[in-house]
Amino acid sequence: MKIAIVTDSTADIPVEIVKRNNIHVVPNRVIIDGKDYADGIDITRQEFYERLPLMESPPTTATASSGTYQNLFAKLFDQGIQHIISIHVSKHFSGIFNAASTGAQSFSDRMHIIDSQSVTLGLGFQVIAAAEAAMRGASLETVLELINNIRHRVRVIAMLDTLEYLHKSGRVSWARARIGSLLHVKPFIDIIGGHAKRIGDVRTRRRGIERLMRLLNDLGELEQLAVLHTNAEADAYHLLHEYEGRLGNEPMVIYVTTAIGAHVGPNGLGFVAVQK
Amino acid sequence: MNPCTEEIIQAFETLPTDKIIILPNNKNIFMAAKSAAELTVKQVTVIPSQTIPQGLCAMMCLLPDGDFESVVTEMTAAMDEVETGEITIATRSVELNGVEVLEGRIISLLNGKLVASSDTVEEACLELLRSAHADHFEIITLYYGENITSKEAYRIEDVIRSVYPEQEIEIHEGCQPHYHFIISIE
Repeated sequence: MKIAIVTDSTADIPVEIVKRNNIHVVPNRVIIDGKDYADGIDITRQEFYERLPLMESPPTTATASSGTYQNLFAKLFDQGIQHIISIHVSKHFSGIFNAASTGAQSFSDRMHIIDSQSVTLGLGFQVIAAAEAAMRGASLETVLELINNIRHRVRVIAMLDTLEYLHKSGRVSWARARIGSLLHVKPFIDIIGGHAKRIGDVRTRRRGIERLMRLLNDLGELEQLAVLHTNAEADAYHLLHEYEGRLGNEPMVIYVTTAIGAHVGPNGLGFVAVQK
Repeated sequence: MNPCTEEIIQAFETLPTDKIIILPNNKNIFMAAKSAAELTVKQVTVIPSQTIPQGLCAMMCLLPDGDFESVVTEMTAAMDEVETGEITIATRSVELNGVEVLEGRIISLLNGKLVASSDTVEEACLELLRSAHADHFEIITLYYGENITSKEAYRIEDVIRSVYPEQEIEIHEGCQPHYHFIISIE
């Protein structure tokens, strides 16, 4: 059975893995000072984060249109694909899932649109597992079950360097208040059920990195690990270096998608882990 | 001025939870807080914070949905990470810790210990920060009290910023009596 795997650029899958597993990635859009860029294509992540503090107005993000998804799905079916599994970032963070769902409407039961209930490689690890299974010739049911299995074992935890960008984006209700009262708060976020839950704050970066390390080491043995950052590469490698647990696969260090970075700001640090 | 046991009990007894953490933020309130904890059927722990900066530092670790014991442990540990400075007026002449103080002079206290005596509040703040090796820390937070004007407080903040350009500086109106500044160094 020929199964194609589709996702969006917020999955943060490294390009070599995308190519190796024939994953189809639809880029999100990021708008900087009135100019539109395709995420990961027209602007590199490093360039985006270096420019972020200097931007005249906060960058915004936009999804690819449902038409873009529809055209991609049509092209894949024309190429002989029998089923398409399209896995996307949590619908609570973005309209991407809805855009893909709308684009899939004319293809009925050959389409399987899945809300990963996660972000960045929390979505990405589900996609990679699905793509690898599809390449091996797994059945549709097996691939769908695998995605579900990974989704229940994935943890995404991050420390933001500031509340400022989340506050400006208005995307998260708990960031709207307090901003004027206590500036130097570094919130911790856990992605649970597709929502960003605040799990405490720290005041200093040093304490924040210590807490991240503790949270990571408390997860036990891991199947997959990616350390994420928004222009804090040195801290990311430091976190990885200090990780004491056992890993099933080679860990990754990733610049987080601009779709997230625009809302969380620079110097963010976190991890995505798939527990065993 | 300090709350009594009964006032502390009244503060938490009607809250819709049976898990309470008390931060006294003052060693003189600790005993009343402990008594309050013993006189209730609720699960009450007193974290022995002795200063407002310690209390705030502990508060940063509060996870309302977390495991009670783990949260208490984290909050207690967090207090060790902050230095507290206090700037006030000497009420008597004394020599203490090698510092000679005349009544009416501005004194600097670091974690409750006298470290400097100065002519001005600005100088007292700078002496305090120097004693605390503030250049090794990340954030300096100034809470100004009711016996200093906001204009003067912000002016001193600017001076501190120029001396400590690598540190994050915050200033808030604390409204506390007696202390021109309470300073948190994290």
